[in-house]
Amino acid sequence: MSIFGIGNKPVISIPKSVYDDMLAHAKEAYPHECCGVVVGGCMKGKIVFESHRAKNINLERANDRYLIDSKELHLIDRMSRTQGMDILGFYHSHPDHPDRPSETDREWGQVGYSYIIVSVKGGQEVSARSWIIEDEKAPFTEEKIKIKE
Amino acid sequence: MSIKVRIPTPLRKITNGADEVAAEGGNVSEIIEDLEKNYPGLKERICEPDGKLRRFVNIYLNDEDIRFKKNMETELKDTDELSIIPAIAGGRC
Repeated sequence: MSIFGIGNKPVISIPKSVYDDMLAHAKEAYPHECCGVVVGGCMKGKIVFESHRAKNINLERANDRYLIDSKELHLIDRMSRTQGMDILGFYHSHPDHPDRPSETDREWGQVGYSYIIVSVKGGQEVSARSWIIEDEKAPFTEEKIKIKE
Repeated sequence: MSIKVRIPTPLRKITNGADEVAAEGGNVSEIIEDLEKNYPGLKERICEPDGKLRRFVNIYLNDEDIRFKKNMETELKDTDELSIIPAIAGGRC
């Protein structure tokens, strides 16, 4: 059963401009991983209104790890709340790696958030999929990305 | 003394969906004990068995990480706000 109420598969709706910026961020950061925060609201499903590029503060392993500065995340949370929005999830890139979660992603993954993973091959070819964890002990399952023009 | 506590999405199942709750206490540790009374199961999601903060969790007092203050013993005023902020990390392998 979907926790977001659309069909059998959860859906996250993302404006095309926001989606394109996530892909552009992944290309710009290549060969390092980029990361960011997506905010919006939940009505009949998750609807992203905007994304915020975040700094990857895992400088030692930026080629295969990311870490969002908790202070930056706290500020984005505060700002989003004053605008009536909420943090829906996060995005990060996998340079020269598929757009599916790794063991490290699962180890750090948190229930309820969307994790959008952008694969970047050679700094040019990009693809993205979104993943969620519905239960603390459950694996990631895919949620459908609906791009809104 | 009642303090506002901001609850992140992963813990809202425990707070019945609330994104902000009130808790009583003079320091962070007392606030977490009070939260546990009202929302059983919350403490183990925030603290290790020895009472220290879990590595997946950060707590901000207003705009400052309590790890840079007195950690769980950080004292509070009634105008303060605590925010529980999950650690967000991962990577391709």
